[in-house]
Amino acid sequence: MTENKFIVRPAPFLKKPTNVRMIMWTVVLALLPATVWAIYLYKAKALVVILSTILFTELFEMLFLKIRGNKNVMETAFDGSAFITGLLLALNLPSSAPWWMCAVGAFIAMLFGKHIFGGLGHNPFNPALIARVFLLLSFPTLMTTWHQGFNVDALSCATPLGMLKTEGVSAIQNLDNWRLFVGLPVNGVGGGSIGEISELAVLIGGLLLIALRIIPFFIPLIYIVTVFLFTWIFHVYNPSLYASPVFHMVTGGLFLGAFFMATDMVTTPITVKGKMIYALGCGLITSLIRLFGSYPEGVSFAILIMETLTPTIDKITKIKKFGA
Amino acid sequence: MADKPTFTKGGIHPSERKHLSENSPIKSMEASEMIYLAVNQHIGAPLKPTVKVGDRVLRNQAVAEGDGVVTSKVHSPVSGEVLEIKQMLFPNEVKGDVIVIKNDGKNEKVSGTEQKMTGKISKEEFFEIVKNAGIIGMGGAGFPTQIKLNPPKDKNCDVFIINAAECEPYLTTDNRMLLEFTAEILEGAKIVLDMTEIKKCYIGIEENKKEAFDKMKSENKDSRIEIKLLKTKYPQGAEKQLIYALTKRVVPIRKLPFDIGVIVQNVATVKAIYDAVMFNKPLTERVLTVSGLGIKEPSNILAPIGISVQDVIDFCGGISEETKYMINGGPMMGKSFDNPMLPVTKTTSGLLFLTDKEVVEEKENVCIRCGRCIMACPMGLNPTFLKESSDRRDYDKMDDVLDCIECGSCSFVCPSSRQLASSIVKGKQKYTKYIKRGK
Repeated sequence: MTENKFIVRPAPFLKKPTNVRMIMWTVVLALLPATVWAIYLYKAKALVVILSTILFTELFEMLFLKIRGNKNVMETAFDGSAFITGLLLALNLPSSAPWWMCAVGAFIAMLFGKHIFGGLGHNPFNPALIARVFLLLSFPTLMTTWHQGFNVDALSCATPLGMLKTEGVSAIQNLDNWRLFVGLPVNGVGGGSIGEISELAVLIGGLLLIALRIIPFFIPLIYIVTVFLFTWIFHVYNPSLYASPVFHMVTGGLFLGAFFMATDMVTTPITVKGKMIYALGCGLITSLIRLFGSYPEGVSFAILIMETLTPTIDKITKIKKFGA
Repeated sequence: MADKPTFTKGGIHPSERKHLSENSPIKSMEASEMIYLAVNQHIGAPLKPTVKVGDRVLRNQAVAEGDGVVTSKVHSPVSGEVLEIKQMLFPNEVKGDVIVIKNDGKNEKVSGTEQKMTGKISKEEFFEIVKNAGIIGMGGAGFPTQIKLNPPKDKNCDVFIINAAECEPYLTTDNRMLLEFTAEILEGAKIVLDMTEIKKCYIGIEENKKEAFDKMKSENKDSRIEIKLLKTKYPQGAEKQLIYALTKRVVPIRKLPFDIGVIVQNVATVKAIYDAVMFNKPLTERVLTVSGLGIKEPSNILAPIGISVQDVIDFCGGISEETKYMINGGPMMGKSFDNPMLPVTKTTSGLLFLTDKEVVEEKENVCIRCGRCIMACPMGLNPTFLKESSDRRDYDKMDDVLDCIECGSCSFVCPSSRQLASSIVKGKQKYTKYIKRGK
């Protein structure tokens, strides 16, 4: 007679070998091209911002997990989700950001972005974006002080989008769109946040996530195409007042937002149709802010605004049942 | 080459693991000394034993019968003595009566059974034969076959489907039957077509059983029967998904296949119909796959119904110490159990003995709303939402649980290892009770 101790539990007994940890760390991997490029350009400055932001984010993650009574603090803290938040926040900061501002951002991200709602899976907003907007409103000068090109000593250069906002189309007309796209230093302009410097580097990481089926291709596609079409219509209507759509593609946080933030599973609608509506909304709001708002860039706000609509979008986009 | 047909909504591709047993020919297993016949193996009104302790029974003798419409019978696969009628605990904590028969090894048959039948039979006689042979859906559902073959008069059925998709990993029962009982299955299909006056029969076979498909195709001479190769995808063997793959017809929610003119039967069931009609042989044995890394000799066996799992284990060389799971059925929808004395029933399409190399246990985690379960659900449901409403007994939001076909695709894809399917299946039971209470 068989002596084995058998386990009885519900089916199914097979499982696809993907887990949250793997997904999260793959996203981190996909953010590496942008990260590495920023460190190459800004050397220690960027490295300090990135490392300190991640370090503080992980520390606050552990602290709040402990306070909330988590039994496996170390295991949960390194599931990759806090690491992504830290890295994403760092990529949304200027390379000139002081360490204490990184710490404040990390604190806000983990407390008001994540744990106050019950931790991973329950946060209505992307924690990194909450922190970024908090810092932008609290320290507007520090958050918009940029290093110029390779020269980490030259500060206070406006970003291309900033120049467009304050000085108009003529100021940006001679900028080399290709150099902006690749993330090569362009005379007289600042690169913007660490992760916005090279759209190409962000794109490489984003395409990796699409290829690995971690994010759906249509969110970034719809988001970016919407911004392109919107800005194109206005550019055609009045090219001396509105910059070309290509310029809007190669500058700012559009790619970082479209590939890495508008695809945040927790905070975006759960259905395919919902995700499409969401991406379209992000594109429209980003374009509206860029063209008519008082801020030069609108990606963060657009995504946060659309996140508030996520429950509503989920409600109105019912999935069609088979046979219904 | 154009893509093979399949269903379009949801679905998954689990690793198939059929190589363990797919090339192993069906081995006949003799009945052992003790036979444990579960009284209720079908879906419908419960049956009652028609024998008493101490009675002598013959091979092919009905030992449990019932009344009502949705009913069936259970027959003894051996001659011998009824030792006891006791209760056993089946998977999912279901208690059931079991008739224990001591095999006398004489194999004395009820006269007139297991002999070549001649002469024409009428439609009515056909349904009677199927009912009296105790034939039920052998793919797993266990619905009495005579009912399914004889839909209400107002449903004009024009398509008969033989389900040979066998989408569950590991299982190779249908595959081996198609290869080894090709003529019998084709003949069985003809009998059904003649008796139901249906003009079209599809036999749906997944691409991973190409050899079986080729053999069926080359031996089929009946123009009414069309053998179709399907793109391999789980859960293609689910009735509604298979119907769509083969006919592009959609079974409306809360409706049955006959509402769109389709009758579906499993390969093994069709073979059982053939045996009953041609040889007056009741359903007392079935082919099942015995597989998994835990069993010494993965096999396909023709076993008497009522034989214990332990006997099957011994017949297939025993199990290793690493065996952690015994599963009745496939790894996606099968039920795990821990009592090796449980018997093989008419719906046991496989017995799996899995080790922790094959089954990875992961801790359930929080939902990160990735939506993979929604993409995987072949019924177009929202599993994560239904799990939460089911766990909370939020009855107002649970109605969709009734449309769940329990295929487990949602749990399979969940990166947080959430037991979505099992919560929803439990939710289904809770919700059904709630509705019966009258809301």
